[in-house]
Amino acid sequence: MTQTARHPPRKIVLIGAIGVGKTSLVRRLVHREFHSEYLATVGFDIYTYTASGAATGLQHDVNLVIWDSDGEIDSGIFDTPIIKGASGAVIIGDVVRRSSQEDMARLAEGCRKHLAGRELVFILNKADLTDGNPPPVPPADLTRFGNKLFWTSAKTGDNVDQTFAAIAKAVDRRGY
Amino acid sequence: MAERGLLGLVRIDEGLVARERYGPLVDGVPLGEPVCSSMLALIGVEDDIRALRDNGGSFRLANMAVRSGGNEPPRVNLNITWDGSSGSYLLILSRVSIRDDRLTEMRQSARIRQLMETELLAKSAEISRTNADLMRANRDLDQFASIISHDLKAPLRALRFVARQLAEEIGDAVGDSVLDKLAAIHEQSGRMNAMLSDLLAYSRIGRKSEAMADVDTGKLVQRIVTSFGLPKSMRVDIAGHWPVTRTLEAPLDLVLRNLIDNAIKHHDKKRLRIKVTAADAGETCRFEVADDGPGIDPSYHEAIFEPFRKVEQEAKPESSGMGLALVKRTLEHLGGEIRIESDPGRRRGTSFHILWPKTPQPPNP
Repeated sequence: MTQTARHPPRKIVLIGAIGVGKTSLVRRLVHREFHSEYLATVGFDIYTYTASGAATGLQHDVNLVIWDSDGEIDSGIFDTPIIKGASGAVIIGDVVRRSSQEDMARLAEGCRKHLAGRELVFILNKADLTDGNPPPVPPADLTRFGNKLFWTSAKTGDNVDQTFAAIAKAVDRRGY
Repeated sequence: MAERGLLGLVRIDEGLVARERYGPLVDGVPLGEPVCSSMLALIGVEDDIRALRDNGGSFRLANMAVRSGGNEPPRVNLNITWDGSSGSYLLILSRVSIRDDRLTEMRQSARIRQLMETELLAKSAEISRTNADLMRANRDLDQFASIISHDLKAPLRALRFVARQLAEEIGDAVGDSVLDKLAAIHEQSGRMNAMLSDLLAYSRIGRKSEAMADVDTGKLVQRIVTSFGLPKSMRVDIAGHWPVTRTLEAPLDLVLRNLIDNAIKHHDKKRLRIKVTAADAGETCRFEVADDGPGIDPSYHEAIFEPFRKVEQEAKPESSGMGLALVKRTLEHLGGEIRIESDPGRRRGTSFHILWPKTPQPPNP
C-alpha cells in the first residue's frame, strides 16, 4: 500500500451482530473469495484495500484499512480501542434476520456518540437470500438515521465493490 | 523472547517514531518513521498513546491479526506502555494464549448455537402457521367440493326429472320441436351433472390419502376392460408384460380406465380395436393405450389435457371433457408422465404412452 501525506490510509471499522457476513464481505472485497462454512471472528482482523480512482471517480486511489470486528462484542466495541481513530464505521446486518437489523440501529446510536462527524454507512448483506425479489423495506429505525444504505451479497459479490468504492470516496471527502 | 511468547518489541520515542525493533513480527516496521503511519493497527491513535506518558496504564489491542496475502497470520496481543526510565514507549507484540483463544471460541460457539436455535424456533413457528393455513384451505376445499357434489347436483337431478316428466305428460299434444327441446334440457342437465362429478374428482386428486399395495396390474386392466361390457365388434387386446408391483391402485385404475374409455368414446366407427400394452422399465412401468380411431390433430395435443376441453371436430355430448385432464393431473401428482402420438394427416390412430413410477411418492395431502 503506497501512502502519501496528502492521501493517508483511512481506517474504517465493520461492526454488526454475529453471522451477518462482516468477514465474508471483506474477504470477498480483498481476496475475491467466499467460504460457505461459518468461522466466527475472534478478536479483530485488519485488512487493507485500495479503491482505485476509476472506481471512486476521484483523481487518486483511496487506501482503506478495514477492521473486521468480533460480532460478539456488540455495543461493547465502543469501550475498546477498535474504533479509535476510525474515519468511518460500516454497520452490517443480515437482510433476512430482523434481529440483526435492530442491532444495527443500536450500534448506529453508539457511532453517533463515539464517532461524531465520521462517515456512517449501513449494509444489508445476504441479498442473495431474497431469491431475486426486491429487497424488503428496511426497518424504520434504520431509515430514520438518513445514512446511506447498501444491499450486498458477499456470496455472489453483488454490489460489494461498488459499496466499498462509495465508502472510500465518502471517507476521503470528509478528510478524517 | 520466543519462549515467553513475545513476537516483537519496538521502542518508540516521544515523537512516536520507531527507534529500535526486535523480533520477527516487527521486521517490517521502518525505523525513523512514525509508528502510527507505518503500523496499520496504530492508525489514528496518537492521542491515546501520548496520554500514557501522563496517565500511565497501557494501550492494548487484544487478539488481532493483520491479514495480507493468503497466509494465516499469528494472532497477537499488542501492548504499549510508557517507560519512564528510558523516556520512550515500549510496544510489545505477544502471542495470544491458546487458552484465551479456546475460551473465546467456546463462548462464540455457544452464542452461535443460541442464535441458530432462536432462528430455528422462529422458522418452526412459521412452518406451523403455514401448515395451519393449508389445513384451513383444505377444509374450505372439502366444504366447496361437498357443496358441488350435493347442493348443486340436487337441482340438476330435479331438472332432469321434471323435463322427462313433462315430455311424458305432454306426449303427442305438442309438436316434435317442443319434445326435442325438452330432450335437449334433459341431455344438457345430464351433461352438467357429469361435469360436476368430474370436477369434484379433479379437485380431489392428491388430497385423499392412499395406501400402497401389491397390485397385479394385469388383473387390474382385465377388470377394467370387462367392466365396459363391450360388444364383440369392439376389441380390446391386452399385450406385453404386466407386472405385480407395489403401487397405488386407485390412481392407476383411473388412468387406464379413462384412457380406454376415451378411445372408445371418440371412435368414429362401429368396429374398433384398442391395444393396451405394458412393459417393465426398471423404476417405472410403461403402458401404452393405442386405438385405430380417427386420430387427434397435433395442434390439439396440448389442449386435450386441459379441463373441459374437447377436440371440436369430434365433440361428443356424453363426454365431459375431463377424462384426459384427470389422467394428466393424476400422473403429475405421482411423478409420472404421459405423451401422445397421433397425426390424422399421416395415418389413423392414437397412442397414449404412460410412464408410471413403481414407487410413487405423492406429497402429503
